[in-house]
Amino acid sequence: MVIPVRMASTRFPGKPLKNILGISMIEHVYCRAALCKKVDEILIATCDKEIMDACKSFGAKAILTSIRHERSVDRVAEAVNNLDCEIVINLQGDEPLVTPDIIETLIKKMKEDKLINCANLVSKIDEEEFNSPNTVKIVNDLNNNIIYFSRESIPSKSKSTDEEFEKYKQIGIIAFRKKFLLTYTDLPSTPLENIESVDMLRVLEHGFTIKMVKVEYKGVGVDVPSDIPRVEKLMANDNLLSQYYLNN
Amino acid sequence: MKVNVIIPARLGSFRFPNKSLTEILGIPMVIHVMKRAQLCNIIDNVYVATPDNEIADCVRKYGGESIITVGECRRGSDRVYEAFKKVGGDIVVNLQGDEPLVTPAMLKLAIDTLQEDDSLSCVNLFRYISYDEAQDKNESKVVTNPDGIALYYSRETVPTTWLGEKEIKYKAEVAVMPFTADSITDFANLPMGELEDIESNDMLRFVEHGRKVKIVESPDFALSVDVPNDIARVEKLMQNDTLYHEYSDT
Repeated sequence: MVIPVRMASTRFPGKPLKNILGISMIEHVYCRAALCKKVDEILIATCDKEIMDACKSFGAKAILTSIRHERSVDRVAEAVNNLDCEIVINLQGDEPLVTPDIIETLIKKMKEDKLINCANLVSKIDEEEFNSPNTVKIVNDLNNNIIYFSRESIPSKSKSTDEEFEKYKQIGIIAFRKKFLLTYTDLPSTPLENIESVDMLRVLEHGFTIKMVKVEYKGVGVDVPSDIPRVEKLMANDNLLSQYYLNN
Repeated sequence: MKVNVIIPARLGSFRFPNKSLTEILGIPMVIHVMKRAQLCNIIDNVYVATPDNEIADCVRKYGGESIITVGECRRGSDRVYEAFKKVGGDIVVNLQGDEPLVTPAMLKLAIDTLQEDDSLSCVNLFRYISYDEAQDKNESKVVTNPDGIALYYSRETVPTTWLGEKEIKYKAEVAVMPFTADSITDFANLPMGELEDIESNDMLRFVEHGRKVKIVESPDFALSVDVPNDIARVEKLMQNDTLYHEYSDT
């Protein structure tokens, strides 16, 4: 598993090292992922010396990657290039509420169906998240392949007679076969990928498929500073926190 | 190779009652569409498929052929299929009755594109529209891969303008849709898609079932009629249009 992180973020500079209930966001993500017994190795991939130092302080293995990557999936690909592994999980560093259960669900799906090149976790969202451009919404075909990702509120409510249809978001947890990940990083970036700022659109625009894996997930990604208090509130009532925080 | 055009038309429309028979420069809209399609020399026959006798009578009055459909049609393309079963053809074009500015060049490009690639189920035309025009929920916007294969259709402004980028050109669907005999049959036999229903878009049935739909830019400007206000715009454009004079005088 690789967690790509960088300090530069237009909407939230220094995001990975922001304090959440006393420890940095990246440490939360790392510790929570480490609770998943199905993951063999966790690596933090970053272009920042500051993050390398932070990782050392909490005992995580980190690798310094190029500053040139525009997309986090490309950073993950660089990090695993010389590693011997079959499945790579890209866990975004801004998902501090990640649970070992949902990671396990994703890994199980990849192991069950060898034909899947990549799979993305998705979860049901409420009206507020549906209308936020920070949340990437997904639409899928009848074979559970994702067909488009957008920051717009899709599918559209404007023509529907039933406004209660289910709405789904992309969770920043994506599994790749290592071979396909290396294919991805060699592909040229694509127009919709850049307009929507969604790495996975490159996969769709080049004609490959992405399986969606639905999970129950109440977590929110951290996109802007105002997300931090929301996360702290959710995390304080979370039974995972005590499994890694008290040991610190 | 037999190419038939079928124009599905209904009277009932909540937003615009009697839309198909609304007159544009003195001729009902559906008749414009029919006459203009007849000018395309690669097309064998043009039919209007309708459940309404009033529309059928009007078509007859203007020397056209209509087919009365009786089934419960989920979408326009299902009505086209019902008519197709009666008249056959190797290629059948679903041409919407609210595209009064359609041209023979548009029909030809869509049909040729379908015939060039047998992996395609259908072809759509699009025209580029601005950010402001894209706000109109009556327009279906389409996003494609770089080869022009449709990824998704939405009433929302896709792709997003999230980053404040309003210079993006949006692709609006133009409802000229050629099918092969096999693909129209396939369409009618597929269960309705969930997104097809939510977005109210025929082509999403194909997309949701993993079929390929290709989108090509319309060679001519076309404006579909969605609301009564559109009529005045269409009349203005049509007055300066040479095609109009080819059939309006007869």
